[in-house]
Amino acid sequence: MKSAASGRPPARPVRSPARRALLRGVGTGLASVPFFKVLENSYAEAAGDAPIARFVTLYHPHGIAAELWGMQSADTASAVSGGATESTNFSLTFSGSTLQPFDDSGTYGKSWKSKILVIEGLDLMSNANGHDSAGTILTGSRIDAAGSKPLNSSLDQFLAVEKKLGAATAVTSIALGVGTDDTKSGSTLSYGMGGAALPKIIDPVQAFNTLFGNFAAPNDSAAQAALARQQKQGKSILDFIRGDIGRLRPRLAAAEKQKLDQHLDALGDLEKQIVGVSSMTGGGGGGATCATMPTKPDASKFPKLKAYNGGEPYFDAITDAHLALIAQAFACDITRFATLFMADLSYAGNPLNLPTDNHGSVAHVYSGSPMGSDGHPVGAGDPATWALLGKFNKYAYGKVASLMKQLDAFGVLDSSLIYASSDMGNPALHSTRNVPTILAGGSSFTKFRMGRRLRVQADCPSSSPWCAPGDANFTGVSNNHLLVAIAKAFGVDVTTFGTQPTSDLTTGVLAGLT
Amino acid sequence: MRRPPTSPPLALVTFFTLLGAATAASCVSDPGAGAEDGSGGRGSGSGGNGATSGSGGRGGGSGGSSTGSGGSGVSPGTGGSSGSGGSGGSGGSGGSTAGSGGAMGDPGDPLLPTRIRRLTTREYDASVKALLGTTQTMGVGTFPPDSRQGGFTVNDAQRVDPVLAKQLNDAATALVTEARGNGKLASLAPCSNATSGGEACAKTFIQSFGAGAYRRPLTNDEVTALVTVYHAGADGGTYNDGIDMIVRATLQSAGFLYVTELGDSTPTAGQMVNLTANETAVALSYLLTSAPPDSTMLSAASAGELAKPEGREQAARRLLGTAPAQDSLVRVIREWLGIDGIAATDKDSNVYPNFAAAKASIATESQSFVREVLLNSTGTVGELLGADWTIADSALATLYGVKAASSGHTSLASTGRRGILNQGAFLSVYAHASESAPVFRGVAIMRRIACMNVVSPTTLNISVTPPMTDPTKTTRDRFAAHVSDPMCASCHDTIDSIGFAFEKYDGMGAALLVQNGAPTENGKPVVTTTTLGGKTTQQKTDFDGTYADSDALAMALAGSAQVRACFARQLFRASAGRSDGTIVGAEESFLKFWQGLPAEKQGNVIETLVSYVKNPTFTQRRAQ
Repeated sequence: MKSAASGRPPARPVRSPARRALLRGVGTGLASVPFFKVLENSYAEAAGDAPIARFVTLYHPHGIAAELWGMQSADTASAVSGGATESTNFSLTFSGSTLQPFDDSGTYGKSWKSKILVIEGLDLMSNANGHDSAGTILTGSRIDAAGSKPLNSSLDQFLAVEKKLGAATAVTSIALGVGTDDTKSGSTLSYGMGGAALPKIIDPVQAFNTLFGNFAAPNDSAAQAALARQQKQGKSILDFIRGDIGRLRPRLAAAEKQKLDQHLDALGDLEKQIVGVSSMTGGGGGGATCATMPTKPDASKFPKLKAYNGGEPYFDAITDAHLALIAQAFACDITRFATLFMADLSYAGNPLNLPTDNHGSVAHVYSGSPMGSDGHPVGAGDPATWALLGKFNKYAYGKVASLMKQLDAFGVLDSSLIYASSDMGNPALHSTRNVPTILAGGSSFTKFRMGRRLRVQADCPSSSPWCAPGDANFTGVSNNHLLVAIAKAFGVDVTTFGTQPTSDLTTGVLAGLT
Repeated sequence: MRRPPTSPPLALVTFFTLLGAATAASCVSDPGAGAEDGSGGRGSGSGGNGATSGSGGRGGGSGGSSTGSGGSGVSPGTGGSSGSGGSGGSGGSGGSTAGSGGAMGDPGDPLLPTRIRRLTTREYDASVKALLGTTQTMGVGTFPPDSRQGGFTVNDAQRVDPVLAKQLNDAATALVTEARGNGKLASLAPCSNATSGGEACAKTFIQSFGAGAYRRPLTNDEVTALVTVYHAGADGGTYNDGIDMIVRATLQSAGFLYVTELGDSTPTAGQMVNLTANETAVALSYLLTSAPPDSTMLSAASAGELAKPEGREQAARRLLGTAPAQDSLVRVIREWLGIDGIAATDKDSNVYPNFAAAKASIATESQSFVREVLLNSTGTVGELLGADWTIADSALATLYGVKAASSGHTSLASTGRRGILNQGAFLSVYAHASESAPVFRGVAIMRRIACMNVVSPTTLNISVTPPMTDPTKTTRDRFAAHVSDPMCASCHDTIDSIGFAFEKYDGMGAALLVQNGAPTENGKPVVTTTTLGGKTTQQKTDFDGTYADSDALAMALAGSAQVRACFARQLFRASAGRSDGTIVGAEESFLKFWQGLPAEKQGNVIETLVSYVKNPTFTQRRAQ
């Protein structure tokens, strides 16, 4: 078994001589990628290379019915630091449980219960409407309404680009989406510096081309020759473009130069994809290290891609295609940073038998008990509405479990940290408090203790259940603290993350994770 | 059926510490009210289970127990290099908060700064079409959507990010494949002796194709560099391979992707620079048609015509008679008002079951009406805002409760509905998925129609708490805290006064049911009478007064000099590609020039655009 991460920052992966010999040796004759990667990774770690650390963030819409998601009365609970509660003895299979996919070996190959950490009670301090708050999930920033954007980069981009953890792979990071390619804060997870939204790729075929467009199986000499020619030509074109930018750049003032500098950065990413990392860094092999060609998505399964334009019936197929691409991309070490913005199934005849309007007729009819209503002393709520929303929640978590299954099959689950969240807790209230948070995988480099439930301190004291953010007695825990903890797990030593009016919201690691 | 939850105590005003302020502030507010283009809810399909049609909704819209949430709709400008910097929250943070502004000149300067500007996706499509004749529109169809400034797609701050770089690469390859397959490249790059004379032919092609792509003659360095690219394809390959490489490289290069406004030298900062003749032709063409200059324009440029205001006017008027220019005008008007967001607007099918079926008609009206006003009628801002007719198909006419004309104008006189602000697109975009949004409408009109300052709650560090829905009250009543709480009233007095006038129309633009002479909501009469410019108002306008409803207000806006001047500013921003504070001087200078127009022309959209072009500063820039 791999040992837990030593805690030192993962260095840029070094192709040690022993590792290169292994790569050459396993070039032909291997039927499957997964076996190949398991060998390589464990061999590499034995040879002293730092463990590879991967990060994938998944967004699922419409919040949750907390009654079917949170800690149940039958779960044994004990107090932990920071006013939190944990349970190591809990059921995910109670009637109506929306997290049941994580304990369903029949459907998802294994029980994933021991590899997840369910975190209850985190707040997204977006200071914006729930529908505009997805941008806070990875940035920990309040949303600037005028620009529909957060104010700093997202954690995945911070790690991949600014801290260069994505530099070693052909694709620095990939942002995928289902149905929506706009870059508003309500539908975007990944942001560059200053909160500049990254466009999402909503077409799995385009995503495949981005990830694997420049790949040829090592034992296919014709494909390898074509790839080599493609790389040479691509390099020539890139050299020309860089030269062209170089001729224009001196004529510009500093601020205008920035536009071209950003263009040059973008070309750097493109070069990695076209030319391959190893030929840039001088290591052995070329381009990707998969033994076999990953599967190209079948475009006929999704003739339409966009929401409001007939794409909805294909969203399920698109989601599955994206998940498979992420798993393959991680397995082949094409990228180590991915985000996926999932959609709902708002179309007539959807397979969940939910009303066509998932938003108006499912999310907004949810009538929560106090458990699902930010602790407010409201009435008992309406269990029929919990079950309705719960159907959609379970569907979404099924996708997360499916991703875990695929990553595990490729042998990369332990090196991949999954962060799944929604923009809202109670969707009928548009509340960005008490949003559902799942961490999964990553055991080879994080010290997060999985196989648990963790409920963080409540937002308000029982004496003042209607308190709100900004009140002196508000004790809500922002998701910023989780982002700090994840950064540290990736070997980046920060003490704060995100942009909020006061530092207590952005500073410090979330208690109870390890 | 939605069930309102047990209500909380009506502690609608909560407190939230302002940075450095002794007292905190919060305001019950429509969330997303500060959103520059806070706009329409998403969220709804048609019917429930078993319905035959239906693009379901998601996001947006109001909750069972809380109102109003921003939905989708127009995305306000998020320029790349003008991204906002860290806001000064004390969280230093791991995430970088670096933002960078655009070129910082003297805000009083009447000249725009020298700059480069990346083509919009539409301009990209028109440019490759001009070069290769393709009818594919990969830019608009597959590239990431343009990031906007002030709602406009022409945006100085657009940049090439990694996703776009990859797509430009793929698009270039696809376009070459198409042009090679249909013989276009063969006809553009003929070569009688490709075996031994390939490089010479390639050089000829580079100079002609390159000049078209860069919209100016290539320099020797550029030609040499492209010859190198030719060899990367031709050596070990064929002449055609080399030509293909040249095109692939050119379509991704800076010379093609960026429009320059630099002049022809490298001046010292602070100097006034004249655009080159080609740069002027390019600027004019993209401004008016979203396409590169044609040969007539280039001839006029090299003859020195475009250096003269009259020459530019002549060129402009020629272009304005063409279809691409007319399409461009309609686009700019729709971007100005944000009504192009109708494409991404959806409604809660429980509340607006007719929206899904009517949406196409509503969207079409937002184009047809504008086109009709500009091309076949007075072409004025006044008519856009105050017309008592529209272009309607039968579905739209049903929505409006009138009879569709078999052709031409459909009269709205019987209903009193006036102008584009009271049409389905504006009313739907600036509303929630399941209710109207007085605050969105008020903010949109203040910012876009009247150029009034409206600060976003985020900037004020105000915690936004939505007023609860209440099926026993009208929308106006539920927003009462906005005017009773002095903290809120300072902004919301004006915002809501404008927005409440529209309450005779619902969140998709249908007129509310009238009972006993008044429109009703939840069985209660809706008060649409409103007064602008009352005692507490901080911003006076030239349309202050009391209005029975939004139709009366629209007529006042149609006649307002302030509105006409604001439109000139908006057209300036749409054309200059910037709305930020660094070009205030240039905007003011244009306003002065525009005011030189006779009064009756000032409100004319085309005359305003021609004025922009005739302005002597059109060809002048300030070196940075």
